Amino acid sequence: MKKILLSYIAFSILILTSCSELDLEPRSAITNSVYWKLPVDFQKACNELYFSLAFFPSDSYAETMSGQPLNNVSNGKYLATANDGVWNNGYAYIRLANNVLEKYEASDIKSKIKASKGEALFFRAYNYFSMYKRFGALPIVKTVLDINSPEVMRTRNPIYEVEDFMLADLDSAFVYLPKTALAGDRGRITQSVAMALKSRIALYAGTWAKYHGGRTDFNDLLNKAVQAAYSVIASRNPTYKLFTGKGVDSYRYLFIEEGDDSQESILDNRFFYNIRTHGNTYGYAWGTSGFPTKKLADMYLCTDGLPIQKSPLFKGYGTTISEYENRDPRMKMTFIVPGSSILTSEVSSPFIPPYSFSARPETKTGYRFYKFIGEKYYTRVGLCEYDCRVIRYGEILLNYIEAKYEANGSVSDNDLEITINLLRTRAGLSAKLTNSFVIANGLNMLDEIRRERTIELVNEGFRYDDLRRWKIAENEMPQALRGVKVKGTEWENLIDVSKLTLDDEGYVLIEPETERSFAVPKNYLFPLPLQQMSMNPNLKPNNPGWEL
Amino acid sequence: MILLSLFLMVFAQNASAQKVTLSFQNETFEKVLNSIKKQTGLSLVFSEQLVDLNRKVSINANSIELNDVLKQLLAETNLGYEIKNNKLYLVEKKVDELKEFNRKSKKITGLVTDEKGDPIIGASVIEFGTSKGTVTDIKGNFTIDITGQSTLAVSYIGYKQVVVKTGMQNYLKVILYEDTKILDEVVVIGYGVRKKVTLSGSVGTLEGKKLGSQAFSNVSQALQGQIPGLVVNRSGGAPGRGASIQIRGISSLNGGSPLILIDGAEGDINSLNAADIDNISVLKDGTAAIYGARASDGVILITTRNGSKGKPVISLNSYYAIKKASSRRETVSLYEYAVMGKDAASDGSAQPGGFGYEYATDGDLEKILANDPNPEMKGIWGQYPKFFQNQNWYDQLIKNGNLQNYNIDISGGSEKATYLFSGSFQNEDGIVKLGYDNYKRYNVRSKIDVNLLSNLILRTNISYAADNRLNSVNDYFFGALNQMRCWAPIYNPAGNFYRFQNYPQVAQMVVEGGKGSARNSKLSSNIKLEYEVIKGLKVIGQSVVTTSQNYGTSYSRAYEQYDWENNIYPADISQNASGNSYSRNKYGNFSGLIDFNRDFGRHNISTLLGTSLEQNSDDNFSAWRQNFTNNELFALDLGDPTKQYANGSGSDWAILSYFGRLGYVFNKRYILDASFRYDGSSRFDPNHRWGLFPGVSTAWVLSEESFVKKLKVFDQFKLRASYGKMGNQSGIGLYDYFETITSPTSSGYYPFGLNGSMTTASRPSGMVSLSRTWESIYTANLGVDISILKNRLNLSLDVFRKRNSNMLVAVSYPSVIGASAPYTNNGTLEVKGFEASLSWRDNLGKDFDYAVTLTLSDATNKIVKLGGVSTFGEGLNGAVQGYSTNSYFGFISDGYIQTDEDRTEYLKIKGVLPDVRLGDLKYKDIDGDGKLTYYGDGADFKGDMTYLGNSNPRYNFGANISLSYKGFDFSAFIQGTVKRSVMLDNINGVPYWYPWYDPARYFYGNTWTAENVNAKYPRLTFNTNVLQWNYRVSDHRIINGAYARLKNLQIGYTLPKEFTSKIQLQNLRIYFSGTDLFEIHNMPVGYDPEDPSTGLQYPFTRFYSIGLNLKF
Repeated sequence: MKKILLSYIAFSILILTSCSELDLEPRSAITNSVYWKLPVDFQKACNELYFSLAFFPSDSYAETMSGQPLNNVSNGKYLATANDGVWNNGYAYIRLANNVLEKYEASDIKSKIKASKGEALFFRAYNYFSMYKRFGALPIVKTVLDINSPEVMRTRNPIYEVEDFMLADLDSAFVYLPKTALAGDRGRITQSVAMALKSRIALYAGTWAKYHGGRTDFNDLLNKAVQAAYSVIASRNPTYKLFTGKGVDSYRYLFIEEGDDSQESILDNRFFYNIRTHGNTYGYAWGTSGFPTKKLADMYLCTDGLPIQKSPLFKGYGTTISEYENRDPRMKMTFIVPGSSILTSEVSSPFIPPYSFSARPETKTGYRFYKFIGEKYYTRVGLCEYDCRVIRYGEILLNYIEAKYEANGSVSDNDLEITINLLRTRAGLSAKLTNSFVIANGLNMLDEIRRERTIELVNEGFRYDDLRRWKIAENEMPQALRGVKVKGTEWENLIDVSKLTLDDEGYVLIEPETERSFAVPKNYLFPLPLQQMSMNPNLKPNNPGWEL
Repeated sequence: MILLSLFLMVFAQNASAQKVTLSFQNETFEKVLNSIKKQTGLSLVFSEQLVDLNRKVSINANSIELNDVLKQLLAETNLGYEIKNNKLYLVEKKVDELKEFNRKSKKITGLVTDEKGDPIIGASVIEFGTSKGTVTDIKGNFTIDITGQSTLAVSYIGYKQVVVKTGMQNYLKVILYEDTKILDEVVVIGYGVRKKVTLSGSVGTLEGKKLGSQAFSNVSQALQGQIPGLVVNRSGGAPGRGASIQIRGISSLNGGSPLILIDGAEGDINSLNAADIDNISVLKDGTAAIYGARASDGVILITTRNGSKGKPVISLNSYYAIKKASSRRETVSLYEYAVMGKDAASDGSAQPGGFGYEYATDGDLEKILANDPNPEMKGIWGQYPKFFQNQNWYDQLIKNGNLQNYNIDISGGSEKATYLFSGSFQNEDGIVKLGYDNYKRYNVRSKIDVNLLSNLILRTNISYAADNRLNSVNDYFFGALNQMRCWAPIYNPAGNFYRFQNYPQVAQMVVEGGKGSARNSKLSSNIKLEYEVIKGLKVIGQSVVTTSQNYGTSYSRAYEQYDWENNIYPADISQNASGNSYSRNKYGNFSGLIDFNRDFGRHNISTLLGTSLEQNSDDNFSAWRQNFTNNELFALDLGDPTKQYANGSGSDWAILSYFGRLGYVFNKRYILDASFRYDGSSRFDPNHRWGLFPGVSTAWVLSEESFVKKLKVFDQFKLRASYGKMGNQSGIGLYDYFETITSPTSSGYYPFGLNGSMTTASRPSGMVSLSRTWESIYTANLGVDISILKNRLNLSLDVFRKRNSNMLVAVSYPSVIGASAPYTNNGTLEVKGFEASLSWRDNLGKDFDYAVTLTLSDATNKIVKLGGVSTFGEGLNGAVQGYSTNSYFGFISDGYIQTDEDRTEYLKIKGVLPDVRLGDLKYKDIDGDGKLTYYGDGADFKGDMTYLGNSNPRYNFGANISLSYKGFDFSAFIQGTVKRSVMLDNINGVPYWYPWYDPARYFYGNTWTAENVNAKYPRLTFNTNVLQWNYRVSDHRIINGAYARLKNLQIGYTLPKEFTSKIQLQNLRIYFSGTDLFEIHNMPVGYDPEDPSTGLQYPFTRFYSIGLNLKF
């Protein structure tokens, strides 16, 4: 027995090996404790924020566009969902931005990383704006939250607080951001970018308040929009101007490779072959991303600057191409004229889309988008490298003129000259918009400014938001979605009419008015994600009309 | 083969007159002889073949002369004796004495009893070397006709066979003794063995030879259904594909799998040669606690075979199997496609020519029926040809595969050393007809045990395994195959692969797209030194070092694609490319044990104390280049050096453990086993690193108690109970307690600068918690083992409960937090279940043995606490508080809208899709609030979604039948599950989910139409909103995935010994075996109940094999 015991004791001593075997450091991961020492660390953290930039937002929610299937936001049949990507992503990026801001405060190299702070502030505002447009009032989170942070269960801040918070972030960002970006930093946020976004947000907030009620200081907001836009227009370094590098076709080429890094780009979501590519062309070339409606087609002015209802130049719908004649040249640059040949990265040789409905390339309206169709064949499916213009100079001009009009009830010819008429000239539309022209032709200046915005920015993701902030969505959105005129036109001979639904006037009917609705106030905002409300009941009540 | 044993001893003097004293009752002849040997000093010389040493004899002799004693002892045998040169020779009686006797035929009667004198019914009595035989009757009596002097073999299941030489007598009394092998049978448990009779835990066992003669890709698949409580989830039939194993359900939401130890160290079950396996033990309950932190999901102990003393024995085993897809997703034929398309478009939801509705023109159907070979050029979208011939891609691209396995081993040994060398080769060809689809495995093992000293043994066990999976570069073959269209031909008229529309063509992809190979090799050395200090006390040191290397190469070729007119689609920008990857794993397991085991009278004490250190290190790198100058050679050097990348990373983990066990058995009746383990893991913050995992098990062998013995009912009756705490670290990353920065991020690179510089981004890897630690799983088990009717009927029953009380859970927090909250030890999971096995073995007649084993097991779980706010979504939910894992939530269906009034009434419910028409599905407004809303069971939402069942397999059963008749053997094994809720998703569950892929065939003719109002599925439509509405998750879509599968069927024939011995063979068996031969289930055609999730994976396969076992 003794021997046994002794053996055990000896053995026990033997096995008391050191525990240091268990102290293992990561061999291929950077720990937080060694990071945040160099400016490049901060820059890298900010680089991640650029992935939150919008990716080719479209007008699919709006009545100027239709798709297959029919869009259930557009037709008012949208139901509240458990979760919402905009909400989840928004707060994820806001956390990253807050993290940079907190690490900045803790850093002892602040003077070298100012731009990073500016970028973080910019992107915080940018992401709040994405959510704000959709949901209205939001919980404002300014710090990196822990699971125990009380903010996790906080209520929503009122709309005006969100608006002021975004604008304040941008003003503050301006202080930290550089004036210009070096060639190697092309694409980074600069002071002008912050001001450009500010003009967009202030215009949105100002018109929202003006038409929906709420805060009464909307004129201040509109004036802020004017000033911010003007500071971009007047900026000398860098100098922004409209892209004219492709002559009369500049407007179309602006949105594909040729327009990349032009002076019109204020902020792009950037792509580059071999680094980061996309497949945006695919959806438009094949029609799966949607197609224009008759309403959009009819909004283009004739070359005399008059709407088709008033212009003697309008050629009617008799042939497949007649309505494209004598129109604002942007129409032919936005639509594929039937029977014309185009280049697209999806097909190797010049391609003539067939005269047919629904088949690929798909259209149910008879209209097809041309805008955003890249031409470089080698950048086929998923390999396009043209950038997405997130903020472009053209929009700033439109922000400026609209804000000015909304603030003052009128605009000067000079203001029109440096904004809308510049856009028209670039597009090759010589007819100018002036106060006298409006009066002479019985037009309405505000309508013309809004028309110009819709046409210039078509399918860049503005239309549905604009209709909502102008509070005219309830009138515009429920209108029937229609396509080309078939009855009594050339179309009748080209396609099998029996398979189409036509309205009384012989237009292709995609979705009748009876199937479309825009409930007031319900559809002016989206519902909060239900699961988020179930986790945090303090978010309640849901937006008006969604309370179920 | 004749074995001669010679016992030589020094002799004293004068032999036959010596007097001996013997008193034996029913003792073996051997014992009696030994006693004579001792008393007389004579050494014995005899042939074992001649002398039955196990013959029971009774003799009472008090100082009687050896001559007389021997006469009495040899009276009823054919033996005579001679004493010369101090040796006692036992020899055959002189032939002439027996000559006459042997010619005569005579009748012998007899009685067969057990040792208690109870008659044995149905024992078989066979005359050796003839086909004559009989069985005992109800009183244990038998009568048999024999010729002259003969040998009778008397046997009965559970008893040792007795061979009796008949002499002159006409009556024989044969006593059969229980096969003590059963009593002595040991079960491998952690760091040791236990006798099965004194085992107190719940341990499932499987003999390695049971896996033999079955065709399977690897061992994990072969375990399916073999051990109650062990569930094997297969994930497809690709060559070499492994399967995941679960013991007693899950024990955590964070996954975790059984710890698999091969000869004492963690190993890979799938790279094992099945023929090397001696036995498998599965520790299911608290018995596993000795493996501490990683034992929560049970422990599988695999012991490989050893050599045994004797001349070299060579065995050869091989089989060849044909492999055939057992279930495959079926898409519609072209005719069905066209008909369905018309039907779906009838509501105006698609325009002619749109996806799914290409055959809209009048006359299309006729052309299809006529199998018109002429396509309508530019018939699709004005661009592509429209075809009218049905194309079955499966039939054209799937063949029968095959599986070959060859195994050879040599074993033997001497007093000093034993050895076993084995080698095997397996080759599996997949079922893909074109391209590459193959798996090869090579195994070599060498085991040599050497007695360095009488009390010092060195055991070496070196094994090497290598395998190679070869596949066409796109291994997504079956996914892509399902996306081929029923009208698209594989080849164009010029004989080139036809690329239709813009779809990459799967046949061309696998033939011309490139090749990938994954080569793995593993070298493991397992060295063990055992030193017996004193009797019963052993000190053991073991070192296992395994190095694995994986080398992957793949290249993708640039190839030309042709349209119908044989025009080449202009060269793609996608260039040829090649990548190599290399990873290395080094695993070391070093342990020291002291083991003490001795009987002290009626007490048996065993103790164990040990420590182990496990260290693991992984390294990997990969490199890739693009744009190779030619299209055939893909050495990286030949690629474009400007188009390349290289990656590399490494990681380590370590676990240091101390463990011990104390076992105590009193009088074979009361059993107590207690163990502990103290584990430290590198994965945790030093303050939360160590965990203590105790386990205890106890048993009471009632059948040893006299009051039970008196009942004369139970051959064995044992009650067992165990309790243990085990850990799980599956939810923990290797370095989770460090805050890390990920760079580059999953978002990729962002191109800043005019020339697009590739800029890296970084982001924090997630929220970190320093306080998290092991999940602790408490397991309680109650069991009973009963053997009755002379061990013919065995019943074993276990009930268990597992409770994971500090499960790591991803607590759902509101998204405003902006990141996934760190997992915290905040959840509770409870698992309950049982295992039952019932076996019966008997014989019918002398030649016919049979056995039936039935097993049933179940494990259900419930998430008691998930932490934070629990919520659920529509469809399959991994974890919802208060429910089982993998629960479905959805609406309750309420039939179809059959009339306009129906529709009007239904639309009164708020939230109903306004587009619904006749033939669309209705859902119930359960809470009756006039609205159809989401949450039914959510905390504070009232709503209409409710629990619809879960997808965990319930009541897994197995049934094994084996029969043998003379040289023939037959076995059948059925396995299945009684209940499981499954739902087919995506293109498998919804017609026209993606209208550009063909719908699954089972919808054809089974959708609602005005003529078929009671159809199984709602009406067809291309209207996405309606489609999504009709296929909301509801009870309408839930299928019971119960099934019963004939896993294995085998017929073998062993050639008679007389024949095989003539050709110098010990054993020769040929057999036919079928694996996964058929199944009964409820799934739509083409879907396997075992894996309904995608229908896009490699199908399961059936094996039809023929095999040969040879031993010489």
